[in-house]
Amino acid sequence: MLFSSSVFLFAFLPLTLLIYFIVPGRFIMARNTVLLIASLIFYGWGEPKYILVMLLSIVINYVLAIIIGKNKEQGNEHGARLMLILDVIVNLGLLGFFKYTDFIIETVNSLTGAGLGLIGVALPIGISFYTFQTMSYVIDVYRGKVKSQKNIITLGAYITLFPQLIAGPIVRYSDVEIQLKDRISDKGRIATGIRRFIMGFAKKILIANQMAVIWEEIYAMVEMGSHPGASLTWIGALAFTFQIYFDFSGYSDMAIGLGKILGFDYLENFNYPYISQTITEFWRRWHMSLSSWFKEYVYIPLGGNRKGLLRQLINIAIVWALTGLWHGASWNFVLWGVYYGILLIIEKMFLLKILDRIPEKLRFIRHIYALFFVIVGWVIFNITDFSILGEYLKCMFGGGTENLDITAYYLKSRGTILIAAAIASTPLVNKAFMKLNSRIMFNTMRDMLETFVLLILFLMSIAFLVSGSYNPFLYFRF
Amino acid sequence: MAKHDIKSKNIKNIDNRKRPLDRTEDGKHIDIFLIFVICLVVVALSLGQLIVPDKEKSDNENRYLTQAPKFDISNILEGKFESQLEEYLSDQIPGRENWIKIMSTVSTSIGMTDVNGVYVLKDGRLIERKTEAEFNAKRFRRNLENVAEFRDEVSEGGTEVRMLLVPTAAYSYREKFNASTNFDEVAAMDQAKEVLGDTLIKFRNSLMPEDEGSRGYYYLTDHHWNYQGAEKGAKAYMKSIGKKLSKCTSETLSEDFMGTLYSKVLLTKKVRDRIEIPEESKDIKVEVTIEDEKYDSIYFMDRLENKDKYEVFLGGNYDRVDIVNKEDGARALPKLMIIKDSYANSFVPFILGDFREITLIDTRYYRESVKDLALDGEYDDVLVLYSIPNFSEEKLNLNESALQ
Repeated sequence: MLFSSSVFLFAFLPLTLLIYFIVPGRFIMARNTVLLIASLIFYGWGEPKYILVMLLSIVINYVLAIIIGKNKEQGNEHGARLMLILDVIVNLGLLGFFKYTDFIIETVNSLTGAGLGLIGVALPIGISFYTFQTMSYVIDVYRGKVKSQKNIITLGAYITLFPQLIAGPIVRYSDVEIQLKDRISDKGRIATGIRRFIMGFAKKILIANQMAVIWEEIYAMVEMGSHPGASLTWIGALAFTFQIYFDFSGYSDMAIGLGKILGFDYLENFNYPYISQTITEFWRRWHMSLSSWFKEYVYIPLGGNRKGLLRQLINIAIVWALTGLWHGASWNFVLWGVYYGILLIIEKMFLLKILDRIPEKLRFIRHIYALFFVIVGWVIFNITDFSILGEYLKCMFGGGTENLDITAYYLKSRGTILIAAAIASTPLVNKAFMKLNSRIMFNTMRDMLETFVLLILFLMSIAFLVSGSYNPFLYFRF
Repeated sequence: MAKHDIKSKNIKNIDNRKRPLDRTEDGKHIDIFLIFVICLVVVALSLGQLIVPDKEKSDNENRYLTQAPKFDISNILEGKFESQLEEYLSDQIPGRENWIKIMSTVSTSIGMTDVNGVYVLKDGRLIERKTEAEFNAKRFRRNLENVAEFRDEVSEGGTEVRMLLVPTAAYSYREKFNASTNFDEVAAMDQAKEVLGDTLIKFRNSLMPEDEGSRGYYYLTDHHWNYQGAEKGAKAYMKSIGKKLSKCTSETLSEDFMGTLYSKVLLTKKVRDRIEIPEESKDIKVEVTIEDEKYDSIYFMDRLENKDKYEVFLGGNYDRVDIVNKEDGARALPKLMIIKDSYANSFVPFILGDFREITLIDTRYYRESVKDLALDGEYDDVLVLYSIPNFSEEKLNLNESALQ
C-alpha cells in the first residue's frame, strides 16, 4: 500500500490509528501486536503472498539473532560469527533472489548469447529497505551493541513497522529499542506528527507528481527520437531532480510524521541536499539513513580510511558500486554508483582543497558545480536503457535541435511550480518562518498561520489525489 | 547593546520551537485544534464514503464510476480487490466533482495552461491536448494504408472513395496559443497526402478561426466540430464529388451544452455551447434503422436533457446506421457509405437531402467486412471521415471480417 493513495488515507490509516489508540498506552505489547498485524496487511496489500516472505524473514532473523546473542554471552565468538554469516547469506539471498536473479540472467544472456529464460518474479515492495534494516539489527546483536529481542512480536513490529516499511528511512534497531518497550503519544507529539505527515504528503502529491509529468513528456520526446534541444532536456532533467527529491523526502517526512504519531522518533533522512556545495556534502545530506548504513556496515568493516590511501579508494569504489546496485537491478544504477564513487574519490584526492580556496563571494560556483553533477547523475539514474540514456545526454549537451516554442511552453505553464520547487528545496521558507517570532502574540498568530497553511495544503493534496492526477511510485526497483 | 541582549533573551524564552512543524510549546490549543480538524476531515471523508449512497455514473465527467469491490478471498489474493478499492474510494469520495474543480482551479491559477489533458485558453475555450508520445504514428500510417487498399479494391466496381481527415482544434488554433507540445499534425497530414493522394480531400487549413470573437469551428467545451465546422466539412466533401452543398440555416436546439472537455477540467467559468442543426434537415422525411429499431428522424431530441447533448445527433455511436431518404424523387439520388467516428454524426444533417441512402459504419463496433458491404451494397460513394487523433487510435481493418 502506498501513502499517497485513497485506501491508505481514508481506510487503512484511520482504522489502524483508531484501534491503536483504543488500546491503552500501558499495554505496549497489545499496541505492538496491533502495529504488527496492521503492517502486515499494509505490506501484503495487492500482493498478499509476500506476507509469507516477510514472515519467513522475521522468524529466521529472530531465531538467528537469539542464537548469536547466546553464543556471545557464552563467549563463543566463533559460533556467533558463523551464525552471523548464515544470517547475512539468508538475507542477501532473499534480496538477491527476488531482485537480482533476472538481472544476472539477462547480463549472462547478453554476454554469452545463452538465451536462458527469466524467472520473472515480481519484486516484493520495500525489500531493499527492510532487508538492510533487519541486517543492521542482527549485526548489532553480534557486535554487542544491542541485546537480541526475545519477543517475536516486538521484533516483527520493528521490522514491518508500516511508516518506514516501503520507502525508508532505514531505521536502526538501536534507535528505537527503548521505544519498542515504552513510548508515549501525547498531543504535542501527535500534532507534530500530523504536521510532518501533511508536509510530506503535499511534497509528494503537489510537487513531485507534477514534476513527474514534465519529466515524462520530455523523456518521451527523446525516446521517440525527436532530438529536443539542450534547454528542454535540461528542464526535463531538472524536473526529475525535483521529482525524486520531493517524492523521496516526502515519503520520509510522512514516515517520520506517522512514526511520531505512534510514538517513535526516527532520525532525519534528508537535509536540504540541493544546497550542497560539494558532492561529498550532497551525500551527507541525501538519504542519510542509507549512506550511514553503508558507512557503518560496509565501508568501516572494509577498513575505511585506516589502511592507506589505495585501500581507501578501493573501499569507496566498492561502497559506491553497491550503493548503485541497491537502487535497482540494472547496469545504469551501477554506472550511477560508480559515477559518484569517482566524483567522491576526485574530491577526496584534490578537488575539495581547490573548492575550499574559492572565496566566499564566489560560493555560487560551488553550488553550480555540485548541482551540475547531481542533475546529470539523476539522468543516469533514471534511464535504464543505455542507448536512450546516451541520446538524452547528447541532447543535453548540444546534440539536439532547439525548439524554443516548446521550451517557452514549459517555462510559462510550469514555471511557477518549478520555482516553487526550487524555493522549497532550500531552508528559506523555514528560516523565514522562524523569524516570525518577535512577540508572544505574534507566536500565536504564527502558529495559527502555520495550521492554516497546512490545512490548505492537505485539502489541495486530497483534491489532486482523488482527481486521478498522475501518481507514480518511484521505488518499485529499490 | 544591552537592550538588544535583553530582547534576544526574551525571544529565547518565548520561542521554544527548534524548527517549524515541531510541537508548539506555548500553543497547546493550536495542537489540539490541528488534531481535531485533520481528524474531522479524514473521518468525514471516510465515513462519507460509507454513508452516502454510491453513485453509478458521473454525469459531469460522462463516465461510469467504480463500484464497491467484492470482498472474497480469491479477489484479495489476486490483488483485484485492492486495486478496485483504491479506484472505488477515489471515485465515490463525497463531493468528488468539487475536488476536481479545486484541482483545476489551483492548476490554472498557478499558470498551468493545460489540465488533465486539456488546454485551457484565456477566453475559456478548451482544446484537447495530445502530445507526440500519445499520438500513435505507426497505427496512423497503417490505417492510411488500409484505407488505400480498400479504395483500390472498391473503386474497381465504380464506387468513388474519398477521405476527409478533420484537423484538431490544437492545430487550427495554433496561431492563437502555444500549441507546440501537441503532436506534429503537419507531418501526419503530409503522410496522409502521400499515402492517399487525391483521395484525401483538401481540408487541413479549413477550420482555422477567421476572426476574433467568432465561435470558430469547434465547440468551446467539446472536442467535436460545431455547426459551422461540420458545414465546412460538408461543403468540402460535396465539392470533391462535384456537387454543391445546398443552402442551410441554423436552428439552435440548446444553449447550455457542456462537452467532454469541460468534463475533464470542470472549471467553474461559465462557458456554454450551442447545439445547432441545419433547419432544413428537419423537414426531410427519413427512415433511420439502428440495431433493428426504426426511427423517423436523425435527431434524438430527448438527449438534450442529458449531459452529453452531442448525442442528439443519431443518439450516439452504433456499429451500423441506415438512413433512407423517403422524399419524392430521392430514388434518383446516389447512395453513400460513411466509415466514420463521431464527427460524422453532426455532419450527416448537411448532406441528408443529397443522397437516397446513407449507411454509417463505426468500425469500433462493426464486426463484418466493410469491403464486402461496400461491394455488395451498390454504393455510389464512400466517405471515410475521421478526426486525426481518433484515426490514430482506431485498429482499422476494412478489408476483412473481424468475425473470422
